Amino acid sequence: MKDRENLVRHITGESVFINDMDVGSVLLHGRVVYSKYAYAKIKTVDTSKAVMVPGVVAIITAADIPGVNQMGPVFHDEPCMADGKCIFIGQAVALIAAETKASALLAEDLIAIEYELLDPVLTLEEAMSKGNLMQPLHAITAGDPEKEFLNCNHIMEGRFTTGGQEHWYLETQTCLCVPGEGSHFKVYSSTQHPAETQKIIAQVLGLKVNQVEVEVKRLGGGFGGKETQGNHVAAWCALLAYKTRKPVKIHLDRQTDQVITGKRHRMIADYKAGFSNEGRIIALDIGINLDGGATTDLSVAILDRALFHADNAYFVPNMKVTGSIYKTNLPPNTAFRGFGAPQGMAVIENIIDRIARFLKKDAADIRRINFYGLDENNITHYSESIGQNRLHLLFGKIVQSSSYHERRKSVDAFNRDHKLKKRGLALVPVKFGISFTTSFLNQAGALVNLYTDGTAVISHGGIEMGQGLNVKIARIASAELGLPLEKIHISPANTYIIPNTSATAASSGTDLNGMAVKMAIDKLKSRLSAFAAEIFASNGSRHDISENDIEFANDQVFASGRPEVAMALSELLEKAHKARISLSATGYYRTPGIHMDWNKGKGHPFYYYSFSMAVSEVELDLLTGDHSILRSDILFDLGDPVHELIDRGQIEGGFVQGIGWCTCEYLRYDKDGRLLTDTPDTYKIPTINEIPKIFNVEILKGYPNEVNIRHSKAIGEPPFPLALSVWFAIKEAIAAAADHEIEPDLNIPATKEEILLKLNKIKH
Amino acid sequence: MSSQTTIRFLLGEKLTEIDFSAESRFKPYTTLLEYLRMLNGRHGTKEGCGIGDCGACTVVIACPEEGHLVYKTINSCLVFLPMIDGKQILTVEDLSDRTHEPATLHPVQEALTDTFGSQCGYCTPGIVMSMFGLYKNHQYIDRDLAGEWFSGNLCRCTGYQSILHAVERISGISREDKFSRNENQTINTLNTIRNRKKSFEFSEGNSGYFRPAALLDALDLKKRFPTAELLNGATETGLKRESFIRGTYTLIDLSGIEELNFIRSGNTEYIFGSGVNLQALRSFLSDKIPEFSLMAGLFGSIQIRNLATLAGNIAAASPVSDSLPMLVCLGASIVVESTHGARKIPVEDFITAYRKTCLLPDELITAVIIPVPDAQTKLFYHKHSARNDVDIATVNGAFSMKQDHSETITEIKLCFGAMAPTVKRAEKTENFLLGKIPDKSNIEKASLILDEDFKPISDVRAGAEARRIIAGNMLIKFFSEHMHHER
Repeated sequence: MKDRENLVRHITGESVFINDMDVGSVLLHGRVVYSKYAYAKIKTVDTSKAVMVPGVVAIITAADIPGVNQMGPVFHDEPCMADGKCIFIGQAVALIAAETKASALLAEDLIAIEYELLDPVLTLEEAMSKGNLMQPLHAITAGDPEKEFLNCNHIMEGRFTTGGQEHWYLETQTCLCVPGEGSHFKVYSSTQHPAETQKIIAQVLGLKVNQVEVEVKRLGGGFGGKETQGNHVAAWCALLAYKTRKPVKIHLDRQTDQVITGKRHRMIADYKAGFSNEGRIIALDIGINLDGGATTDLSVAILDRALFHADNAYFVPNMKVTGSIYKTNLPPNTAFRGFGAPQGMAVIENIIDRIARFLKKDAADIRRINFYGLDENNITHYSESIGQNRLHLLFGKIVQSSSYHERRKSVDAFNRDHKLKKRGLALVPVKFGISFTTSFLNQAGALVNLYTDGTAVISHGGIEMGQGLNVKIARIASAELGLPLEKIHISPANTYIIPNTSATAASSGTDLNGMAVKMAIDKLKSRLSAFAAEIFASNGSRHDISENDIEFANDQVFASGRPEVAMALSELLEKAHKARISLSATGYYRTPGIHMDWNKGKGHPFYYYSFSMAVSEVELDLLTGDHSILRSDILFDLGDPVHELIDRGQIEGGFVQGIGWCTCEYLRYDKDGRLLTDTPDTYKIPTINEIPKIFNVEILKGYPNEVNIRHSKAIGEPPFPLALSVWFAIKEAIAAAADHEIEPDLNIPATKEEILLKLNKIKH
Repeated sequence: MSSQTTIRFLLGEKLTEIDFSAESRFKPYTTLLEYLRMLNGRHGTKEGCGIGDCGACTVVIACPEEGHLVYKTINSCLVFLPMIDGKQILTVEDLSDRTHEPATLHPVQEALTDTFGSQCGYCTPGIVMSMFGLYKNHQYIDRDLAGEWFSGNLCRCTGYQSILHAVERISGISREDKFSRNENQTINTLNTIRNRKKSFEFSEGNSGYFRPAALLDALDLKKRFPTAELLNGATETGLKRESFIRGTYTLIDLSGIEELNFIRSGNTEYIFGSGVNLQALRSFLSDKIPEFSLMAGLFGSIQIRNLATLAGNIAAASPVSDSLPMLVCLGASIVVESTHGARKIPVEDFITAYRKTCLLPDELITAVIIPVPDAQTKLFYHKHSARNDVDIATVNGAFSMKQDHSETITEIKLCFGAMAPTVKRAEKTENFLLGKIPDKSNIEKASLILDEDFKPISDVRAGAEARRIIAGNMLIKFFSEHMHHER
């Protein structure tokens, strides 16, 4: 797989997504009829008229589920279809399979559902006031904040909130299920977690896991939105295929996708911070409250990551973080790039910003003096050493490369000279823990098949969703095997080939699967090295060559330091096959040394940390609330990147997604819990004109990450929270409107409306 | 009136014909996107939203104009099949030659590949076609131009930077490609299949889709079917196609009437046929009424503006219309015609209530007349929306003003959108300002009086308080820009 192979497929339109697959004329159109009330008893579902619509093949309700009516991924609290009760708008009440979309639409109109309305809980505030806890509290404590608050020069308290966010992957949730012989079902699902999709379909259909084969070639974007919630459409689709014994496809229309799927968790955080006259945080108590929605989904793990990242880049000797997930009658909130970490980081970053305002100091300086130390003060609140700390290095470099101090002066000068426009400048660091915090998920499998013509097919458990995983895996395999990229083919992820995989999530795709591929290749190389040494020995009586001297490079095997003793890899493979040596091997990897004890709130949940920093400058029009990002500089520690251009794309894309979360993306519901921002007409993600006018992305060079595959570092999620730099620059520009005398009580997102309301408040 | 149930067009290089009376898979309201995706080997074009907001379905439509092919990007999810009659449709599959490996790529595809301007690939076909349209229309491309051409293409993966890098690579390079080499042949083919005199008509049961070729035929149809829905670019009607599946439809498609597609420029007024699309208007007025052009530039995306008409926007009579406040300020009128004759109505009088107009059932808008603003008139337009591009106005306002030599205001119009059930002038504020010098104190008083003119509502786009603040700030912005009070 050459670097550009996938790209060329995309830009020529050849790439096949599930909705593009041609399965012939028998394909049925699947449609989800979902609950229209947030909380209600479902008294009757009458499908008798609907089934009469020509072209309708089957309509099913919860009563038709042959297996267990359950699709909760971790906690089993989420029915696959609403049965007698609906707990949010978007639960499947009925499923239609029809020959055409038109028939399905007409049938939907004729399904009569009788509801008895109950009182829903629709806001996090209300859930908190009612004590609607979804799961027990989680807490982490270091030192003794209660005691140390008494010794601090200053105490600051406050509340900070962040909004939800719709994933807006371009490809909506899709599944195609094809019944095979007997009870075999082949499922093509747009899921980030095929093993779980397989298990849930088996459970819902009352089958064994080995009767369900899930295959995923590529996703049109995931961002966490298909980590669990791809399961839903897949399970519904499988139910219809089971019932009709025909291939069925469900491809959600955009509005349905936006209405029924969960989002990034909204957060309300209450905090108390004690700090010194210099601005050093001495003691901190943060309570994080997340809106879980109606069922647990991944909320517990998301909350945990928020708690783990409530320190962001700072050493706080006395720190307590408590986390609660509340239940509301909204669709279950779910994974979204950053997985709670951006919310946790935003809280402490806002505390730091507030301290700087209170002390009338530059926030970047307050950040610096609170950074984790290099040799001391480098243990997190959950007792993990942060290892090779790059914060100080990155800070020194980015302050220089972004001309931070000079621009601080010119921003101040601009603000003195302008009454109707103000600028703001902000630096934000990110320390991001790499590993699934649910330790057992940190494992991966791979299968490497070599062929006698010197080519390879690699299967692994990771999902290609635009992040360039397959190109990176091909590069890793090419480097490890010495095989040119064009001789490597990456097969789609398939649960029959690589079983029991973890989701492609937590930025771990390359780390885990790359390592598993390497393990498989190591096995093959070990077999082949011994054989090659034998051949070399027999050929020229070179008895001095042992298997340890054999190297694989440039499509050849050769004796180390003796390039003349060489053989084409294809020749070796042909010979090995004839000598009855297996050319196929599996690889299995589990991340060493990670664990977490929640009873103590202590452990070593992360394998290593990703470090990065951003400096952003905005200009704000005080009359319109329009802001323009004049410039963003990002400096990223990637170790030795496996593919720098791909990683740059991840940084830029993650940052802009973060800008959306921090600024223009908001969710609004009506009084009955109906999502009003339910299409791109009202839900606005950044366009090409929302990105920084000057956008500098620099990769830190020369600092390999020895513990990881090819000395690289993970990349998917960490760039996202760097966009907080844009939010803080906006906050500063607002504050500049009142000469920094009044602090704007700004939350996330800083929509134009919010900005204008805050400006109005501080001016009057 | 002779009519047919067949349309003919070029799909790539291939002459294609659809006879709706013989082909049950397609209805006249089948969108171009739905059609493409039913074909073998044309799955490249994607549906990302189905309502013209994301651009994943962008295709290019080519048409001969004055001896050359003009390439326009459009949202194929909004276009009904009869609208493509006589045109060439180009999709992502047409740009490269994939008969051999590696495929021969078009320069825009080369550029996107070089910069890794695609990640998941789902928005990519639309990005490629927007870039192709840009390549075909402009030799040199700066950041603003790229911003205009891509604001209708959402990408959730790349953060757009790699796409902008690709755009930099195609700026200035040769515009010769396989399409320019084939241009004459394509024009000849298109000319042979264009039946300008032939109307399209397809009826089934109580439904019908009519695409007349002449205005007189359209007027007859409107008389026969007074409740029929009129469309031209279908950017509004295209959103309702599910209701056509669920019920009946009577559609009169005006996009085939060449005589409505004209621009006349006089000394005192500009006259635009109701078939002129907003992108054409924007270009034509860019140096004549820059504020109008500014407004048009904030109207949807370029894919939308290549379809949507000003007349359609007027007829929709929306309280959040982009164009109506500007047209009211400019004193624009419309010409409406029926089989009985024509009448001219000021735009301000045309709108009678929330989404209601005084258009009679047998009438349709045939032209929009915009008086040439005199040199003394100061114009202003601002649109506030949650996102600047491709968004509905939270509040928009168009203002015009004349002052005498002492700066006393002698004429003023302050027209707002999204502040009332219709687009509405701030009469009390206007009356207050008339005869006054807009100094700081008068402007402050005026912004308070504005609160008496409007009782805005809270909705999904903003709260009432924000709307009041925005409207007041617009006044301050207008005067600060013209009085040079403050930076």
